Amino acid sequence: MHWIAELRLLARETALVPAAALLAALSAFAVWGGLDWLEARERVAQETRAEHKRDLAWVAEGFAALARGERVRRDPSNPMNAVGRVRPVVVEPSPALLWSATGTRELHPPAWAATDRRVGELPPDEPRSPSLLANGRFDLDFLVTLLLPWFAILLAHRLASGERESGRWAMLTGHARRPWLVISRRAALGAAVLAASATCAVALTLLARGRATGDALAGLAAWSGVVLLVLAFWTALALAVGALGRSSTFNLGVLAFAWVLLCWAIPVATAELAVAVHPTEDRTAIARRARSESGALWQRRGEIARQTFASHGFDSAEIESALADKTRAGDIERLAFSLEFPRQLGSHSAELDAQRERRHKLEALAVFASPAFAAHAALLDIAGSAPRHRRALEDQAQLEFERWKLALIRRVVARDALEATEYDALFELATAQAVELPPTRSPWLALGAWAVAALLGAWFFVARSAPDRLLRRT
Amino acid sequence: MIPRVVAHELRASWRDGTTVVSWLAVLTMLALSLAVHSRRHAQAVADHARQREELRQEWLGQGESSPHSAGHFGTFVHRVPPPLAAIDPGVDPFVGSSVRIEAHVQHDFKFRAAADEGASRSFGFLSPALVLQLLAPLLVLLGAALRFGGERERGTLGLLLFSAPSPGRLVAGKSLASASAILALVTPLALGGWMAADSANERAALGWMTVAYALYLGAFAGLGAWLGLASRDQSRALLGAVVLWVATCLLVPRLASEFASQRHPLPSRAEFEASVEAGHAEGIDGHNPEDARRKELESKVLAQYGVSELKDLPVNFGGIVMQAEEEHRAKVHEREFGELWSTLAAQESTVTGFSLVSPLCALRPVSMALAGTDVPAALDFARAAADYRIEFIGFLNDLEAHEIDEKKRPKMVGTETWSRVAEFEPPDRPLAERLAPNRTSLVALFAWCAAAWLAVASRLKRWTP
Repeated sequence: MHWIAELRLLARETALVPAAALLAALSAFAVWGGLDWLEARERVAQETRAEHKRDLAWVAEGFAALARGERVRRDPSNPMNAVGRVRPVVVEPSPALLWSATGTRELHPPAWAATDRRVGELPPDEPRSPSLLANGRFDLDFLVTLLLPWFAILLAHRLASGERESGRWAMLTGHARRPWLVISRRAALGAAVLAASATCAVALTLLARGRATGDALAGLAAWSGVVLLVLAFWTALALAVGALGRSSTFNLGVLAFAWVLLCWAIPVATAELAVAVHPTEDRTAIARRARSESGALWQRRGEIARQTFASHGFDSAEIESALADKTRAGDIERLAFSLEFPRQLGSHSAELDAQRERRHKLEALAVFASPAFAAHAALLDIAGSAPRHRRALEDQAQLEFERWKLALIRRVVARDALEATEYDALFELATAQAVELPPTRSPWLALGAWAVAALLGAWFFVARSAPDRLLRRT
Repeated sequence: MIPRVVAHELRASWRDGTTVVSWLAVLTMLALSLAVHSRRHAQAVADHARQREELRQEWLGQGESSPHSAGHFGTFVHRVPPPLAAIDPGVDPFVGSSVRIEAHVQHDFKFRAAADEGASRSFGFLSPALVLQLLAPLLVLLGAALRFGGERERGTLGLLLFSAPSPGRLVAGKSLASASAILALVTPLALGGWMAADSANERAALGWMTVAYALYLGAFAGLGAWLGLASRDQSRALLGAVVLWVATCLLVPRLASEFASQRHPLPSRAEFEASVEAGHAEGIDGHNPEDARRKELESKVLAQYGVSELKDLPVNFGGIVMQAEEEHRAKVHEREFGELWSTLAAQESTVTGFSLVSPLCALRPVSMALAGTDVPAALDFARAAADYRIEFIGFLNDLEAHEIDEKKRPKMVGTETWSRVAEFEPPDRPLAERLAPNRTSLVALFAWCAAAWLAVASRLKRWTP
């Protein structure tokens, strides 16, 4: 009964009800925006597959013409013709809560096409207004990381000081043996109501979409865990500040300062620090260098063909005989070049990739400097939108590209004609679904540590603030 | 009376530890961001100058080649960040720094800096503009709310109103104290900008930028003052100030972005490319000898020169057909990119429409436009790059048509030819062009400031202990 009475009191004394309603509405809006974004990305992935299918229209037409005994410009039974016609693509994985945090996915396409011409560069981006990108998305990540702390602060900053300022603290100490327990209980109740408001839209969406699978429920549990930890940290911090026994104005000022420092200044300064410590070369310069060196590489194509095919386990006698055959040597050399060229481009951007990796590692340490960044990292991990997910996608695109190309090259070397039915299998090989990565622990550990530290801090300050001392300050 | 009130307010702020720490923190962030961005901007300018020179040498030193191969070899054009990008980098990290110039294809911007950044970029770029757009309003709002709301809570309001000749003068003194706070915030911006600006045009833009930020912060000072006057106690005034800041500086701009992208959806990359491809298919294919439109052009050219076979032409038909293809593709690109860009402009205008709800939605486009880092500036560059591509490839096709003999091999031109290709000159936008599309935003900023202070004036009569 105490809890219900406290909740009623809390609803009457603070703006808990409108705050919870606003939070639920914002959460629902973020979910709606996220689902719309997801739908657009799924459409892009489908269009990419459809584009591949369209690219293969010449295959059916070519086989039909061959069956009619007609001469065709591009013979589909020749595997060499398939090499440059179908571009291998890796489609991003689709975790159940992908729509909850856009992260770095906003800047990259959902399907990574690997082509021998541009594999060292970033794939073309989806058209998106740069000014909206600069503004940032209103997603659940933004809501939980940056807005939710304000809900906790506004709710909890005057739980104790409000009692003192309204002259009820003496009454509270007179009736309750442990007044701080009452205050903490109110704070916990308020945080629980806010957590429920933030989570309900996500849970309902998972149910409504029929995606309440084991993975989705685990994702939801993890997501709710982040929400609870964020609320625990900020509520406990507000209680600790409140226990200093100063006015509500002072509490709000200190908490606003803490928000600016922990939710904005530290993450932003970390990003700047990472860029300053690990600068990267301009991508245009890398592309230029690769372009100018491709000419030299092309001059050594015969030598490259031998090295490349040997490294992939081809029979050297078979390669030598193919290279000796003037009608096939050009194709074989071109294939080897198309396999080796992306590697060369990769070696040009290797330093950039390494610096990027170092930047991300440095940034990952920021989870221990900012609870907001820890929450952000955990949410990105749940949604599969962290930088490491993108790197995995890039690496997989490269591997799939080699796998696809090698499969075709073997057919070319063996002079093995392609059948019409084989193109479907080749198409499936060319559009791979990226693998999902297991979650990382560090954001969770950091966020948990932040919440525990804040709770211990609150307990410490509360224990130190004797009621009569607070009464004197009233 | 008024100077005494101002002096008293400033002294009171100086004695308050929390205020001093907050001010120091914000000014430190401002100085830090100015230093970081000025350094980065200087590096970017030097890097672009070096790359431009290297590209020119690379182009001149490519040796003997066929003009069409040179067209495929192509070049890059760089976007040099404008001087005031050190204050407001705007959309620059999201649009890329260079455009590839190549035969047959009009490329989009490439290599966005933000694409190589980590997860913390979701929190924004530490720039002087962001500090003034996000942190300074909080400081000004809280300062003004405390300044005007504190007297009642401390019980000094009655005394002050009794001793002051009029409440108006008292409020004027307190407002001037708020104005001095704004001055302290925009002075580093003006000084930093002055050091970065390298022309009268940029200095004039900086002047307008300073005015825009002063209006923006003035609006928040007015809103804070109004909250201080209207609230029952200091705590409520502060609460109102924080809620107002969260709503106008964090919530509304992102909601505006979502709304704009929903209202004016952009096509997907695949849709856009399919549309461009469809446009290309309607014209001549320069590499396909069986193309019907090519045959049609061939007959026309043969008739024009009064010969019956290509070998009898005094010009190289290959160059003519390539140029015809380029001209057709340029029209397609102009149409398709034009549609894309007009959707981007519609999104921008929708976000600006939210200026009525948030002064930040009014300030951002003005600040970016004056810094030369807004979307129209990027599009101007893209247009200039597209025009340069047409000129560049047109020259090479002209070489192919008139200086290459189809009957002789190899079809090369000498190295001295490459110096005849003009260098790319990036567009320079005069101040009037930067300001023109943002007049509404400037008016909105002025309206916010005026409305806030009118509200303060109207509240004066009811300001009682």
